[in-house]
Amino acid sequence: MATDLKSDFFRSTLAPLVLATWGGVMLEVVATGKIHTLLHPAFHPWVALTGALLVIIAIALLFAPGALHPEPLSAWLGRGSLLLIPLLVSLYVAPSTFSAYTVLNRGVNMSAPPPASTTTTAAPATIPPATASNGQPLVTDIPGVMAFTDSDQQRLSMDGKSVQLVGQYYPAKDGEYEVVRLYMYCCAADASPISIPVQDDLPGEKQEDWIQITGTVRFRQHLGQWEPYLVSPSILKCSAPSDPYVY
Amino acid sequence: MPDPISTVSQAFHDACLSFLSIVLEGSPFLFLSAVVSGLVAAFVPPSVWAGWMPRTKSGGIGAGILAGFCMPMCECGAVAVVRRMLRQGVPRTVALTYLLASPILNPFCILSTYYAFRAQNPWLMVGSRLLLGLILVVYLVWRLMRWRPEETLQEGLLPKEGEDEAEHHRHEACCEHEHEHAHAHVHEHAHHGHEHHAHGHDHSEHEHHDHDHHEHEHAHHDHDHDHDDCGGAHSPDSPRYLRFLHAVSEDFIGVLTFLVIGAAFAAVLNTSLPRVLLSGFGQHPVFGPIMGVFLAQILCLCSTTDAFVIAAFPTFSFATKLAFLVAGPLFDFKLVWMYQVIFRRRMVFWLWFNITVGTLLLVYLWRPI
Repeated sequence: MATDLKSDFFRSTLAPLVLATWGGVMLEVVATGKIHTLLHPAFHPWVALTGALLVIIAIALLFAPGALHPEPLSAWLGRGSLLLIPLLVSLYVAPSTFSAYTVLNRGVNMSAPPPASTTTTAAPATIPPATASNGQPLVTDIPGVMAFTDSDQQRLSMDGKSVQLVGQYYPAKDGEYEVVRLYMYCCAADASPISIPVQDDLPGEKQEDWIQITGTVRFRQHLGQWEPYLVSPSILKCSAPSDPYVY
Repeated sequence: MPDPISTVSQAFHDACLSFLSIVLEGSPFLFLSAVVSGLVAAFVPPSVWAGWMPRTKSGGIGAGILAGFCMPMCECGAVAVVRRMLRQGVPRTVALTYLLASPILNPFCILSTYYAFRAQNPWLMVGSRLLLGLILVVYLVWRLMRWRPEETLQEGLLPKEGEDEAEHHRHEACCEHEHEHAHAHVHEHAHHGHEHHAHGHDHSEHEHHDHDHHEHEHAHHDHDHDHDDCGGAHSPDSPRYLRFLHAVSEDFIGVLTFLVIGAAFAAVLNTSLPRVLLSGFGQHPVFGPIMGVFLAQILCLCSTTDAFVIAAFPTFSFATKLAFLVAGPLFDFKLVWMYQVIFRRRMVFWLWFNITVGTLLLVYLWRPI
């Protein structure tokens, strides 16, 4: 009888186990910061809240009288493994950003300015002043430069200015390479590669290396749209930023 | 020449990243919808719905669209809510309209489309998307309502005539069933030919076994009741918090199963498909919209995100982008599985076919510019 009771209890814990595991994974990605590689910041609090509530509900199910019902072995093997194994494998296997395989499959966008993030309640990104103090280059990111293509006035204000960017090195056509970042709208699954071309001889870096580049901004037209590019660059190899995406 | 092992390894790792991001983005919405449906299950008796829901087809469609606009829900979340709505006796017209309208006819979708196309005649794209989406949703629901409920919906979601009486019969059947199973949690139904479990799990699996045995479904309709609402912790007599806990757990896990399957397919497709292969068709007046629909169905993007992604394809025509934006929220690869929570498998195919063809026809005929 005692064995049956234990067996029944074990078989009854599939739902709480699934809820607790999903809740635990959500809390872990938030606690470790891995969530920055997965979701737009607007979603982070919701993931944390959902994770906590799932764990609470799992505990409540375990202790609420009459809430548990035994599950057959087939449910454990079927739905249980389906809901747990892909999640846990992905958690420990997923890299911090996509490799060249996905970046090249998705295609790099150089001309369309990335839109303001409207999946959040945040106001549209403001355009930074196209000036830098003390003759130093303006430290910005790829969307920050692309934003200057919105109007002629903005474009002219940035043309010829020196900027400093961080991105991944990708070789392009003759005499050019690209500085690439992934622009995240909601989650990594919809992240689109955006880049700024650099007119220079190919440096010795390998594809996907993270580089810090300083160069002068110019603009040119491509398919009827203005796109920025850099000339006279100097590059330094650097480590990947803690948040590899831009928003 | 890339090393094939290295390429496969990169593809697998990237698919894992994409998969994890999709399920973690969808889970909070799914959980929210499970909480809503849990509250409905625990605190709103079915008779409430019967009292004030419109009974006419046009009234139901109007109410469903209004509900979708006022209570916007992504595709993943809407499935769980609609399943609970149907179980609680909400008219089929209202529930199915809500399911299809909520992801596309809502303020967030309008706002995101406007911002994404703010440099490309935004109001034209917003208006076109809403109008064509509205026409398609109304058409789909109108056609769906011409089928009998048992031909379209999964068992356990079939509407009841006179909810109180149905509740009575259902509970009666449940108690009898529960009694039969009092000492055996698992047994074989010879006439169903599969295991039938008394309580505590989602019946979607059970229902899938029945797809290809339509005549059996009619012959054994007495067994088509919802264990979720009867017996043990989940009977109308059980404490409300237990019914709430169980409904949240069941709805979350039940729909999550399909989200995981759909997300796995979406993750592989949206990392492995070379988009440059498609971009060549983007300007073509005939193949462009076909490619737009195809791209939307394999990328499986949220309706609040998809406009940003497609707006960034400068070579695509207006019609191609519009086809992408109309078809995507209504059907994608992820929804092939998630819709099976609500619909029979052949109806999911019917939905795919009608959404694809309907979108293309509307886009071909729509000539605003």
